[in-house]
Amino acid sequence: MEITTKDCNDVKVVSFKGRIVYDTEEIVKRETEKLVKGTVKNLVFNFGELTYINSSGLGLLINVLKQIRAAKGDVKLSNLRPELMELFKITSLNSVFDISPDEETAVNKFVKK
Amino acid sequence: MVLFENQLYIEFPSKKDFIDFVSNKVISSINTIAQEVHSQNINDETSMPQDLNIFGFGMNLSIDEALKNAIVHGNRVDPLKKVALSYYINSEKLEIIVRDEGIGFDHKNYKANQEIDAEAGRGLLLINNFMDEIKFNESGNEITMIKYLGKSKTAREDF
Repeated sequence: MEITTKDCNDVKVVSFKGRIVYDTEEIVKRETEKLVKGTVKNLVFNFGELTYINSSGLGLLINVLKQIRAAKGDVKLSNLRPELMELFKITSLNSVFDISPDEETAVNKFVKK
Repeated sequence: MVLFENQLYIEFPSKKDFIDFVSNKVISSINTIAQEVHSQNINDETSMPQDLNIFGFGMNLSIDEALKNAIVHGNRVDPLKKVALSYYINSEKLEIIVRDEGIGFDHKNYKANQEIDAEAGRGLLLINNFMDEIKFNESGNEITMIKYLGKSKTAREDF
């Protein structure tokens, strides 16, 4: 599991590579805690190379989203693989998260505000 | 047409560390046999069409969630209690059984309604979605998940 970040003006883009499973959950927790504590609260998660996530991983994402929204920011998701998109639809989480087809669209949603 | 049957049994202590290991083992074991048989049958017109994609993401997720439920909710992460997974596959269906040593899940009174942004409680919803049939034993400590091979019986697209 690899998590990399880059700054685009006031937006932080976070790219996930690999699988969020029990073995890699701690890495994701550690990295997302840094994001929650950071100054930039406008976050775009790029899931282009995220190939797997289970209900436990989804819970983790919701936890991050709640904390970031409480700090007046948002976590926007982008570039989901079809199977992950399906997962978000099944769980209705596509109505909780703002999901964009690609990273650029997601970043622009913050810029337009 | 090549007909086949295969089964596997794994028993392990209730530690979360085992979930990824066991699901990977099971998925790769199922895939190996399914692919071998598929390659034998591929040019055989008497064979029923099998969709190998059903052994991908959704199957992995169902096994993952069932093991997590058994370890966390069934055995309450007590390493002295064991979880047993067995699967049985033949030309028509794949059946996966996961059993724990807990007091049992109250499947009759279970209601899946929950806050949409709750941080837990989606495991069974996901299993239900990706498998064709699920059933519990009377005491609720054993779940059987069934996927029919060939054309899926569920309406949704599989992957």
